[in-house]
Amino acid sequence: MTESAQSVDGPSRRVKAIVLIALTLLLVAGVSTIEAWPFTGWRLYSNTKGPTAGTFVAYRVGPDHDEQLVDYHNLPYAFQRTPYILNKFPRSSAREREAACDGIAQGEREAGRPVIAIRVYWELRRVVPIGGERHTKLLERELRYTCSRAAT
Amino acid sequence: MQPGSDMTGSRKNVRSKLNDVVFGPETPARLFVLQAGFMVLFAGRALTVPFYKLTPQPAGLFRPVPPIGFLDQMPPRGVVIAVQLLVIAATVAWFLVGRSPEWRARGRRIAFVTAWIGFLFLAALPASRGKIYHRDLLLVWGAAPLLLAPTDVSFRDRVPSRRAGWPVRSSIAFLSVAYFCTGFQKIKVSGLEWIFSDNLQWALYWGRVRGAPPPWRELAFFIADRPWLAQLSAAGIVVFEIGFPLALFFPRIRPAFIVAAWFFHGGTYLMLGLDYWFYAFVVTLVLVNWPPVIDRVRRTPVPAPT
Repeated sequence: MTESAQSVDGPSRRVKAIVLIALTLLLVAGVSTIEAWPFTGWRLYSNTKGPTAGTFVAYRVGPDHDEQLVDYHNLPYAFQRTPYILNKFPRSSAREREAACDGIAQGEREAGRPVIAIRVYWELRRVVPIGGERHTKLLERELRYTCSRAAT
Repeated sequence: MQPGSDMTGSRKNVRSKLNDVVFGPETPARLFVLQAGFMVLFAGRALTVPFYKLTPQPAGLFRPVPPIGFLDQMPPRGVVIAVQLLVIAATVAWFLVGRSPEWRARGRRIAFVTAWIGFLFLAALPASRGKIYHRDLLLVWGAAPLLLAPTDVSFRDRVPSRRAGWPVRSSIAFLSVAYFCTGFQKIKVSGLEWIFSDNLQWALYWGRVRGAPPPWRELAFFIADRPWLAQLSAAGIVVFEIGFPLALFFPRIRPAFIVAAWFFHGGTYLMLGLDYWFYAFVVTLVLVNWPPVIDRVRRTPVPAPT
């Protein structure tokens, strides 16, 4: 858009059209929950919360077959949103799940922790607020996925 | 007068009112401050957010959003740092080029577009980790109309015009749509139960599910322990979000929305640990008519040292 294309009194028709189309797309995506970032459904805390919440949790299986929780705080910053990838596992292909497990295993190995498999559990927890602190109590735990390719 | 022509007349009236709301006049000085403010926010974000730490990341954990859908993994650290520096350099250039009457308009446009695109790229990186990331979107969308705005405006020019006004008002319109949709989704997904239930109580008890505990959990629990207060807060949140477009139509109530934005985003950070402070900065930048405020501050006499 050049300066000369703008009318002295206000925006040209072309500029107005661009602005109105962008506003409309933003509104349609927002109202219809279309996710095509940076157009988004703006779903921020839109689901109601309750006392229980379920999530997928990754465990590293070491050479002694012991399971250890994957602690993302002990991994580089780039890994810290990995739980969101895990929560997409039911909708992901087997290849995507294996690739994600490989990524977690790679991070663990680079941190000096050997891995022969990654296990992903579904855990249901209840929040227990006690004396100004938030605790959670494990209610259910079920093994959903085992990625043995992570061993390689 | 025929009823048909009455209808046409009132339709024209509504259309002209809406045209004024989104494309009406403001002072060039206000547009200047808005452009400068957005540049500072771009640079501030590029300077303070460790985007470069998002990489290297194993390719299997990368879920690119559309603007960077052509990538199959996070870009190398050198590229991310270069873009962060580019956004900061564009901001510096925007201010420096203003001194040259010959280069002002063209130079500022190039600098603004560069900073916006660079920032969009940076904001797309955290959004490509498996969860829709909204934290930078208000800045991206609020600044979007300014990509096409006149760039030859001056802080000294106080004569309102549509030429300078439409980017300012369009920016408010983008913010309004964003906030409205956020509130609308709460009601669409959860109904009035989002307000009139124990929803917010549990949200406050849970806090941020991952990461460090919120800075002021005591306040979160204080509200959560009182159902009436939790429901009142929930109602306040929804009214603020869905009602935000009112700020577009009624300039007099804008201060209320600015104060509400600081309470809301401040509270979200302190009680849930979710850092959306930047939204409050963007709302303040866009809704305040800065030139009279700056003039008043400049005119305030500095007390002589005793």
